[in-house]
Amino acid sequence: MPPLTPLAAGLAIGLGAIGPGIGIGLVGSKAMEAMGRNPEASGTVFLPMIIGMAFAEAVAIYALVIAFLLFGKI
Amino acid sequence: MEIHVPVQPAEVFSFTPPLIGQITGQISVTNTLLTSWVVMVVLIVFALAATRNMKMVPSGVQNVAEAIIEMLLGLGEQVAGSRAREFLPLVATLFLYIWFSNWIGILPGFGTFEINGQPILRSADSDLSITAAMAIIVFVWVQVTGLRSDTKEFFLKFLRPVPVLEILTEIARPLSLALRLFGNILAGGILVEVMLQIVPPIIPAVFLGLEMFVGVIQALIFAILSLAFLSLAAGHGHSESHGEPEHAGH
Repeated sequence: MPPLTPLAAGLAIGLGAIGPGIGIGLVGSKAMEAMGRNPEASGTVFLPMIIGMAFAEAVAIYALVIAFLLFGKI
Repeated sequence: MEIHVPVQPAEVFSFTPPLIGQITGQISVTNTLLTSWVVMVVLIVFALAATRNMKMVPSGVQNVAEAIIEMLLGLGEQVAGSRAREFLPLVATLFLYIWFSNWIGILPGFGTFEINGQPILRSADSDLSITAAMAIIVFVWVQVTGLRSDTKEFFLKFLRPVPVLEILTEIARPLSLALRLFGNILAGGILVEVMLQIVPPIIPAVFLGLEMFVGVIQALIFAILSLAFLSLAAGHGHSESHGEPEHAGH
């Protein structure tokens, strides 16, 4: 395996998780705000929040798959 | 300290199918495939038990099955409106199959029995082949639905200004479905395995709980996204959703 491949794999997942991390935090913070303003809407807000977080997390998963591929062991 | 984690599924045995062996050659059965067979058997037995001697006023297993279907239909109608009914068989099957195959890994016996140093049963969705197969089924059904409901529009959309965008969207959807589920379940499995080798056994139980949560959510996401794609293909602008699935791709 070329010498810089472990570095590449580390960078792939490391940099690739920055965006989704911020995205998930944004979704969560807005959801917290909405629930705080209107506690009765908690049930309505909760499920779309989870779904939004799963979409944002999926992008981080793509980066993880690239990291696995670089190690050649997927 | 060395940490050993199996990333690829391991072959358990291989056989040549009796009649079609000339065409397919040697088929290797992996541990993930075995798990998917176990899940299939359980779901089929449940379905058979629920539909035997069906009564108008349900009781017992039939009651449970009807409750599950009603819940899924309610969820589907939030996403796709009145079309949910016609897509419900495929979407509900995907949901139940993925949920069950994610949760069956909790049972004792998974990862314990080994053959040639590899576990004999392993979470089914940690294999890209299985998730890609489900994504391909959804992809094919989306194309068929699009063709059936509006044949002219189906071909006309390639004459729009940027045909590459349409093609890219159509390819990106099943790809993202397969990779999302695969990545989540594989990463969760590896996380638990690594934790088991680093810390005493009580603490990884927390991660196992996280994995169970992720398992349900990913099943839900897969099913809801498939339903959204199908309903988009069946007719633009017909979905009375509250906004969640209205984007193309991820």
